Amino acid sequence: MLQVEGLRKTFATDRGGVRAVEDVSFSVEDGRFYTLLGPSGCGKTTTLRCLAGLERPEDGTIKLDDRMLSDPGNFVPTHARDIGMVFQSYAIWPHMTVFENVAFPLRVSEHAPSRDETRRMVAEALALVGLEGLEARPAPQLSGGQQQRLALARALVRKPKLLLLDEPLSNLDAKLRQRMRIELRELQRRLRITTVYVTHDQAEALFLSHRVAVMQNGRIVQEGRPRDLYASPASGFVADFVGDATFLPGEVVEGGVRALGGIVRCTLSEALAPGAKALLVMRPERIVVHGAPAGAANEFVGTLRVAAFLGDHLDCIVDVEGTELRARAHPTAELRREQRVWVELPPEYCLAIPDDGWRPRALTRTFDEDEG
Amino acid sequence: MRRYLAAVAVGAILLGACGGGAAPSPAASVAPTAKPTQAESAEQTMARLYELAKAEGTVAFYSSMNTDDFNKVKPLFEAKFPGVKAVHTRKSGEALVQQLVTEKKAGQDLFDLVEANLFEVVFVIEQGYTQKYVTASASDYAAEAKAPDGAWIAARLNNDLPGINTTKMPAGVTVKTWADLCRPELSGKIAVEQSDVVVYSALRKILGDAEAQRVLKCIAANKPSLRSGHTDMANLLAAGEFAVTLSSNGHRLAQLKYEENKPIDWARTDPIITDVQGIALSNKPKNPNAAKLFLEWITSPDGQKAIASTGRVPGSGKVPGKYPDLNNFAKIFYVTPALRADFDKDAEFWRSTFGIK
Amino acid sequence: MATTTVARRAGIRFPAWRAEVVVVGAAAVLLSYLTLVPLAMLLLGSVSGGASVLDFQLTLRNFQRVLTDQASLELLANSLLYGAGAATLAFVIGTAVAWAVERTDVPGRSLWYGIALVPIIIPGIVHTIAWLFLLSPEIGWINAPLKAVFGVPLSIYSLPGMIWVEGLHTAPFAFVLMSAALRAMDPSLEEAAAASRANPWSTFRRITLPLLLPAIASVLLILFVRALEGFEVPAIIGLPGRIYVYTSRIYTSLNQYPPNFGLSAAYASVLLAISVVGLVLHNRATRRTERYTTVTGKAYRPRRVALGRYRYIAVAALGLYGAVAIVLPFLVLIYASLVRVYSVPSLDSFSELTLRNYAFIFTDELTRRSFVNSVVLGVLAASVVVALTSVIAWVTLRTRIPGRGLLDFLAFVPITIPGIVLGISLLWVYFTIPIRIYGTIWILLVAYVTRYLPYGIRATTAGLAQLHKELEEAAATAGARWWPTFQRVLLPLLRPTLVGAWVYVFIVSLRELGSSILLASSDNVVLAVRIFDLRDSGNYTTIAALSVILIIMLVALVAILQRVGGRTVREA
Repeated sequence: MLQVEGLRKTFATDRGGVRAVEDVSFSVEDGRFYTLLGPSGCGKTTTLRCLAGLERPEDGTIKLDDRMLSDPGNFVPTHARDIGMVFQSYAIWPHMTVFENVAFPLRVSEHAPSRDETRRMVAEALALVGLEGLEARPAPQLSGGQQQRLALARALVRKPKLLLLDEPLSNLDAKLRQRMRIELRELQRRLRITTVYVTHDQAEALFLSHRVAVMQNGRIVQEGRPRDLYASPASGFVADFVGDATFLPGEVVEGGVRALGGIVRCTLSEALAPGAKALLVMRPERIVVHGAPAGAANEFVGTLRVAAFLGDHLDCIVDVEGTELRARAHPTAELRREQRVWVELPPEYCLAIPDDGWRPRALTRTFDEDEG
Repeated sequence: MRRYLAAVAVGAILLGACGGGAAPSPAASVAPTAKPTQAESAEQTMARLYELAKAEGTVAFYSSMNTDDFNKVKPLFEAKFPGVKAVHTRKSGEALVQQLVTEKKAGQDLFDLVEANLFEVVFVIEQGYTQKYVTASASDYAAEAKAPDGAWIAARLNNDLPGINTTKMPAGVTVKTWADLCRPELSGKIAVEQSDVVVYSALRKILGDAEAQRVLKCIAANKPSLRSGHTDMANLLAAGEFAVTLSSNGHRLAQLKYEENKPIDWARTDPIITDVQGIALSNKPKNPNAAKLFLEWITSPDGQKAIASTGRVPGSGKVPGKYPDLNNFAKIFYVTPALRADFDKDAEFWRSTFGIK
Repeated sequence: MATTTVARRAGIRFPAWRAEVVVVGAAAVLLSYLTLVPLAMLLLGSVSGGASVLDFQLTLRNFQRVLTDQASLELLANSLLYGAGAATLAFVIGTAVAWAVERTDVPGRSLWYGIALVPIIIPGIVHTIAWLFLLSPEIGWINAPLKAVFGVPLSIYSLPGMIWVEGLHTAPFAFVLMSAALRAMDPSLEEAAAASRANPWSTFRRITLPLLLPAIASVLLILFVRALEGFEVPAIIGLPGRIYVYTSRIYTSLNQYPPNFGLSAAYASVLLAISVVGLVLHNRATRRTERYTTVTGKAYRPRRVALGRYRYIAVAALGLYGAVAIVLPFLVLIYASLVRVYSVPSLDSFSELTLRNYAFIFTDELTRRSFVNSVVLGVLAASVVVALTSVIAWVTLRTRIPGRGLLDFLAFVPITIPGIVLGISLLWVYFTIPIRIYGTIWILLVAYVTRYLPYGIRATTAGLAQLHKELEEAAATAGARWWPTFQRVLLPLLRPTLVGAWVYVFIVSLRELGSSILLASSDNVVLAVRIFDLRDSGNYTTIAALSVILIIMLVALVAILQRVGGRTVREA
């Protein structure tokens, strides 16, 4: 089990110290896949590098099983930690062959295995990632996906206790990323290796993880199972980051929130009492656009501004009382711009959370895949 | 810097001890001065030193003698004393002095023997960087060619003569005396070795201050090319880069004329200036025995014959020079340490006249 | 405590940061010794009346002389004119060739590329002496026909003569810098101008020129500083011609007795000040672009101008340049190396050709010694510089140790110190501190390492910056300690960079004259000084033979190493 307590790390910059990681604590059960999710600069990579020993935290403890890796008085250097790591750039050594890359961790270890044993272990690791038979190939001749697998094989060959992955899929194209995501998940589940994963891609996080921690400004702001994070974000930031959302500020009234020129029926988070300021969180994929009144609860009339065909649905933007809502319509629906439409907001998918003043950068913002 | 002129008369006055006013070369005026206390002959001394020098293996000879000539002398020494190598550090006089002073100031004793013209060698002696040593053959040397106390001894004498390229001389111009270099036809065709202050110091004695200054100024008006190194300047004269030089080494001119068949001649001035080249022994030689051995040898008849074989004028009166042309000057002005008395003033005048910074 | 044991078992004896502090501290002390100490001694020496800084007596006599001497204005004017003239000439030639090679469709580009680079390999002293043979007023090859036709020969012993020789020798350097600048320019910027219907001339005037301006300014300044610090031309051409610049003045103030070390230091301080100003301006000009200007990141596929029928003119011009920069000097050296005493070629001289000069080189004790010393020094200097600057580059780029910026700065400082200034500075250092290395090759090693630190740091920093940090971190996470990481990952990946830097330092060490002239003595004589002394002794024909051998060796060496080690000269 990995236990992290009160981790703190500051970077010196020209403008003085910048808190990169601020009092971060979490633990990962054996065999679990744990993801640190957040936008760039949130401290997730620094946290991971502290686990690897590539950064030395100022405060806090890191413990792997019974072994203290880092506390204020002691610091086990990277090479002495029982870990494997895959880097964002893969860091495949270009002057070595595939075999040499994977054999490197074995060869530099204090108890280097015999040549035959090394060969066997390398073959095994390559088989795990589906690179059998490429041993002799110079590393730079591999494709992006193959390099990614090679990096994984190299991280796994020593059978480490802890696998650290730093945005390993972000350099792949969309199709390949999809496939690697599946392979990675299957591999982890099969090997049951304790894994800490860093990403800014919520879809990856939700897909891969047993547990996800969302980080903001050096802190973990919410942690939990993927479905809980999605269904019950504790703040606008988390809601925005985990999945797509439309936000509407409004005042809490009995059974709902006053917005869109009426009352929106919704689920209220516990802290909210009537009269409080709330933020309505609605998932666009749950908001349905109809060409005619459907008679559902929470139905509002608006004007269709945009309707774009996306294969399995129409992505719509509807103006309701001056507020633009993102919503979906059936792909076969016959809708024209500027026509009147009826928007259905299923109450069970509308969540009201306390309004802490946070606002998304744009009301209809979708998650930017490329954001580092 | 290197050449001295001494009218015999002046030389005689300065060096009172010299016999005979008309001495054609030091050879004729050998006077057994200071030294002979040693019972050993030169050969015995060398034999003794050789045994000790073998262990040292080399001798570091700092000398302004040009490389080609030294490379003729060196094999003769090394053949006679196998196992002792003579290593020649060759620079022009001032550079040699600068290097030596620098070494001493930096706490290093790298040279065993230093040889340059008297002005330079006496400067080094005055710094306390040398010691006295009277060689077994010193009695062969005229008073002009050695310090009586053994501070220095001259293994060779440089005749400082205006050199002439006969094909480059403008028609109708002949150079017999220094004043002839003022001829306007020679404008841009003269070369001057830029450190030859000694020539001016000697001219002051020979011509008198006023005339010497006049001559120097009118030579400067002919816009001479300033060179560094006499051999270089003589070679360029032979190649035709200029028609005439203020002062070249007689032996180099003779070599070019007789060995290389170049169109070279020289002015037989009256008197000619002879720039005595002194050798002094380091006060802390790295190779003391090899140093003394080399000094003994180069001043011995053997060494002097080696010097003579290059065409240079040997310092010993016992060995005749190779080119009769250089042995038959009517009058010779020998440069002496005393001539250096006004060096700073002379150097200042020399530099400002020729525009040397 | 479990951790402590683990850490100990892992071979960590004390906290990592303390080990780093030791390394950085040692490097800082060494670098200060190499760069700051000589400069401090120089300044102290220039105002000292004593023989060493230890018996320091403050005197302003030297500076008074330097500043009020009637000739001081002339000296300043000569130096500036000489530097500016040589820089301009080198710039014009270098840029023209660079433009032809990089931006036009002139035939045989790779041939011209090679021709533009070869002169870099020729030592300055050899180049200068070759031009003496070519342009001496009466006996120069070029002058003989000129005189026959016009009656008036050109004189190399003049300011224009000096500028010509120095400018021609520095032109390849300008070529390297300008072709890098041209290559680094995104052609789409010009294409966008064309697409906006700008004609070629206004595209050049309003887009190309403004974009290149910072590069032009920085190249001109660096050429200016290089010309000012050169010693070969001022000593070999300037002194006989009575045209003094600072470097030759520093030298001549020592060549009188008593040698005036204080005056020399004062002149050196002035030259140093000019050089610092020039380089500060240079840094300003390049600040906008990049610090490591010569190593540009991105290379674009250039837009080439179709020359049409002007190609023949371009080829002729490039050919003329090749003839003047390489063929003529080399031919004159070969001829001079085969005659006994130099003279204008004639039937007579051709009938007397001899190999005597070559025989001399192979038998002369000091020449052999200087050859051995130069090679040993080249190997040592190159190795020390590369090793030292690799560590510094690594510390600067890969750690967050406080003071790492200072290391980088200290290693860069010597770029401002002209060779002869370093020479006189080191004399003062070893007059003062009782480390007896004057007269040994160690003092030259100190000088060369100091001089070439900036080149080393530039090359290694650029090389390391291109290596992703994660390549090393991956080794650490794979369980490798510092040494295996260094040996198996870092070193192999950096090898092309290191080999390039090594070869460059080796070659420039082999021909270094400016600092050696004051530091070399009988035991530690080096090739360039040997040539200088032989010249003093009038042995031009011997020098010619030595030069021919040297050029052939260096060209062969570079050709071999370039094949083995990849980019070398170009990098340099």
